[in-house]
Amino acid sequence: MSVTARGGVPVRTPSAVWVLIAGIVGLTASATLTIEKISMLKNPAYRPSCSINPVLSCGSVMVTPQASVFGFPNPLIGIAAFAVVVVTGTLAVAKVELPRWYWIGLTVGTGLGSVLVHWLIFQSLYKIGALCPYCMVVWSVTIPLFVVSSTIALRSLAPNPIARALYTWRWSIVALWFTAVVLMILVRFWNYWSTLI
Amino acid sequence: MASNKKSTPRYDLKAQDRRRNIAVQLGLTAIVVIFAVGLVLYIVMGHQKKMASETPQAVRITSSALIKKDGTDEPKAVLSLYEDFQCPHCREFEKTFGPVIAKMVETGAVATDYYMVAILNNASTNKYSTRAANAAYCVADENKDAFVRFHSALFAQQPEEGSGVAPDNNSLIETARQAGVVGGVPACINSGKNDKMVEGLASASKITATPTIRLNGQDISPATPEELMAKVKAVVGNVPGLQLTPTPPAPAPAPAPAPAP
Repeated sequence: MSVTARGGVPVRTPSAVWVLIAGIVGLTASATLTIEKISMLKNPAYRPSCSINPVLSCGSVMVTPQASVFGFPNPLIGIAAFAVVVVTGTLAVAKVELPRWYWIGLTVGTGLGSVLVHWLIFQSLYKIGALCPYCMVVWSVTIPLFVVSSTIALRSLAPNPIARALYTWRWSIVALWFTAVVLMILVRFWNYWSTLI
Repeated sequence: MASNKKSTPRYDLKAQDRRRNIAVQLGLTAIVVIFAVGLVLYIVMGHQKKMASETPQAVRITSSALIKKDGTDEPKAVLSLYEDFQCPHCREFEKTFGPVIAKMVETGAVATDYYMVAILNNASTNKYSTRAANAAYCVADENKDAFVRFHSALFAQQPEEGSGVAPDNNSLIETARQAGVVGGVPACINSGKNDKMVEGLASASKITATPTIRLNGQDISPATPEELMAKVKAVVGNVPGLQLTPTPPAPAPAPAPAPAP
């Protein structure tokens, strides 16, 4: 209460902890990818730790143009963005109430992140034809992060019945969403998976 | 929100409501997830079974000197090779063992059955494994000698795994032309006549890796050409003219470890 600014948004502890954990996980994955990328640049023959088999192979994903959409390696965006998320999570866990516009900003940011992630999922599956485990970690934290951040930012929409229903069913929707992605991966690489059985 | 904290009865009711809602949500979500996974697995596995049902075809390479089983036309030793044109280990295998295999075919020690499997389609963006394997069968349908040349040429020009750039059909047709066949090959390559067979071949033949080498149906994994030849000799006996190229400086026909058959 002491630090509450006017217009601050209260955040429930589970959401706050979630934002912090997602931030740390995303930051770790982005940092690892960046380090692997630097090692690959230093030594083209370097085999990244996450190149496990022909399908799970970040080496073949990281050298593609899609891995540097904006002209520099994507994980650099991740490092900057997840650092902000970690700070936000820390403040939320410490019960520092941040203004609504801040959470709306974070929602816009994670929303853009989710769009990028979905584009990368599509590219990874259907254009590159390989999966990068660390990238998948980023996929799986970005989407729930967007959901949590938008529920905090858009709480004022609560009276709206559609928003209400979306809010009530949000984790079911996320679970189904992830199921769809997992099934797409399963089907796309079935030729390979079936040889492992 | 804040009013709930003290008025216990209302709080309890709401908590019960909430718990029931969560249970309903969990249940419904789980049902949909299980249903979706089941449906997709059912479709995918059915599809795979259909592919596997295509009988694997071999391209058999022999010479007139072939040693046959007594009183039959069956070869005494059949060497089966399961290879994917996209597989780097197969390329290595061809480089190391290709000459000795050619020699063994020439002297009649073995008949070689080539099976072109497609399991590495994910390594290219244009299903190179499938197209190259199909093309090899197309070439073999026209001419076996051209097949041998085409087979070597494809391994010599193997695209890098995951590089994304693999030869297209026109390039395969050109390689076939250089190997000495045209005829029905371009149409066969473009129609993907053997696509299903080559994609189902691995599971139909229980192949889990390429190259897989079988001698009379048994998996073998020779480390050196000498070892492979010793294994073949253990089946067919000594064959006139069958020895490794005289060039190796120290062929050291050391205690050829005669493997138990």
